[in-house]
Amino acid sequence: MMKWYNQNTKEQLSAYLDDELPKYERDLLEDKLISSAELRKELEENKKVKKLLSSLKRLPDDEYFATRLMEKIKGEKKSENLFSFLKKPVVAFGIISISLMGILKFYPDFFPTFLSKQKSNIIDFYTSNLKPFVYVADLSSEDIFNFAFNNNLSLNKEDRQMLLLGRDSSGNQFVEVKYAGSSASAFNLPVFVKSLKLNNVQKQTVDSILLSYSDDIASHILVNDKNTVAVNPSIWNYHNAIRSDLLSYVASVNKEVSDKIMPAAFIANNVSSTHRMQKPDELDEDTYFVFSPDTIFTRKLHHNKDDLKNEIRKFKKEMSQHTAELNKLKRFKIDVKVFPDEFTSSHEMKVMIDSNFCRVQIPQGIAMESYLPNFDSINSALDEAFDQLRSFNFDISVAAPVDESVTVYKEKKKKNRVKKFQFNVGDEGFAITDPDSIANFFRFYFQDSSKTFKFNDRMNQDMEVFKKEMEKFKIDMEKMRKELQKELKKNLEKKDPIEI
Amino acid sequence: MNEINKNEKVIPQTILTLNDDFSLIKRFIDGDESVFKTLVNRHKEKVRNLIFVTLNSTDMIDDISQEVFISVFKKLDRFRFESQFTTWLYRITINKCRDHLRRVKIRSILSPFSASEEELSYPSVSMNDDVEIQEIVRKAVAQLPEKLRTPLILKDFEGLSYQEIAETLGTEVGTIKSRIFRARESLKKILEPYKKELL
Repeated sequence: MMKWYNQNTKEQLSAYLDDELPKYERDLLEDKLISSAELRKELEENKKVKKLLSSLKRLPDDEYFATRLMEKIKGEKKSENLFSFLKKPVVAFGIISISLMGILKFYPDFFPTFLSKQKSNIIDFYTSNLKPFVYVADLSSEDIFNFAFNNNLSLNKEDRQMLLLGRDSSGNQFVEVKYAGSSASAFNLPVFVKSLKLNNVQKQTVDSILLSYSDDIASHILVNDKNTVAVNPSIWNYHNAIRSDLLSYVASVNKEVSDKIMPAAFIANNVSSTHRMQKPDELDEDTYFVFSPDTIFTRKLHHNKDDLKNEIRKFKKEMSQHTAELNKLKRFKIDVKVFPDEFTSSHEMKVMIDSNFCRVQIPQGIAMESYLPNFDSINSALDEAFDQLRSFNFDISVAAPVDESVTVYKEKKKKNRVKKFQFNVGDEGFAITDPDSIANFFRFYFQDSSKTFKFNDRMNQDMEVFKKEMEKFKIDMEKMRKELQKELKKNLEKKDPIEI
Repeated sequence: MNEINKNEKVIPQTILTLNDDFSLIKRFIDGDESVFKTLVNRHKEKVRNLIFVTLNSTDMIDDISQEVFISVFKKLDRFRFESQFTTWLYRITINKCRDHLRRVKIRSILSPFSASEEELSYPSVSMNDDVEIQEIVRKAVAQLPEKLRTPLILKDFEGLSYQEIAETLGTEVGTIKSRIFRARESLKKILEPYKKELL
């Protein structure tokens, strides 16, 4: 309290010295000054300080200051007048236009060079520190099965982002990064195993086939902490190779099923993955499609495939030592809010963007194709075989004596909708002896039907006719197979296959 | 008790100055640019000395003074006659000094070597030497924070009232009163080593 009082009085004393106190406060302070020697001493000190400042010597008068100043102002006014026309918008615009014309005349590459430099900076930024996909997630046999069968690979399970391989309506291959939404494919590895009635040993073999591609896939998809994913389009080769491996394994373990689902062209080529891939002519194996938050571009990333695989193996062994890097990369998330620009023009990439996906069409003529078998000719057959394998998955409930009315249900899940096919078979005395053959039959005739059918003699006659036609078709296909093999031999002599 | 203040009151002269400044400015606005030289001659020493005391350096006085008056020349046609010309002139001068100090500060940050330590050292004083006393006081004032230094200079060196200082610096009279008091207290502490000789 005492201290505050002193401070306040001292402040008043300072103002009193400057004659800035109101009369009432001045009178009060003067009373205090009479009674307090300490305050009087304080006032004296303040007076001395004030005097020190007020008695500071002034600079000698500069007589010519005004003259120099006026000369300077005159000079500035002249230069201002000289360039005052620049303040007019039309003139300024004209000068800028002429300057640009001059630049373009003498340095026609100025803007392209400038832009390409900026592009190069952006590309370098997004392609730095790219790591194999295995750094983000270890691929399971289920993931690889989905990749082969459902054409998609989960990139970020938390955000349900995936890489999708596909063909558009014109048959052009594309690579797509998209949000998966809530739809999940009904046909997965457990269903596949169940459909083929595989035992544990056979299931393990399927797993080992799938997992043998894990490192190959991981070395073709690179990610970094800048939310960038780089996809080597030759991943299509592995997609096809896994499919062919799976189908040839189906053929080896369950010939009956295989015969039912395999299209003639597929059987004719005796499809199996030989792991011999054809090197594309224009887009070499170093070229990746890079999906970044800002743009999409192609970029040659000089990753040696063997080095990458070694890195992956080493990484798997020493995973615990990579915790920091893993934590950083695990925040990886694709941003599909991208826009196409000149980056994409080098390989005439076609890019399609939507709110939840970003698609890059692989240019015609450089699409990835395997050498043996020639997936180009067999791809539709592969698709058909897989489609039939998918259709092969259903349960038939048969629980009635031969003579009685029996209702058979076929349930087919498609995009979360369940289609029910109902067949009343009792009245015509139809006997169910082999559910598989009926299933095959149903599929063939009524694959997309939701109608109710009744079996009769006419149907059986049609079936006989169909069987004969199929026999004839098989013979034709055998001929075609021989012709195809001749063609393939010729191709073999021409091209130099690459062993991988 | 109030001799100093009574001596500083020269009201007739102030009114005369005000009127003279206003009439010169009006003539300037009407197109007679020659009167600007008269205006400069009337106030140049105030500006130069204020810069000198504020910066405690003679190096940049001429340049900054010229900057101040060129600025006045460019803006004078927008003068609104709501306050004294000197208030406006001091505000411009103080702003130019602040700009300069900011530039110096940035340069000192960028430059690895600084002469600041040397500048702050005090000479041993022979109290008969008036020049040295002046030097000590200037250095002591230069050590004050800018917020305290400027009001104190405007009051004790330029003789402005609290009201004029508040208008020049764009603050309240109460703030000025407090800052001047704190400036004096700080100055006393800085000059403590020379208390016997100076205070």
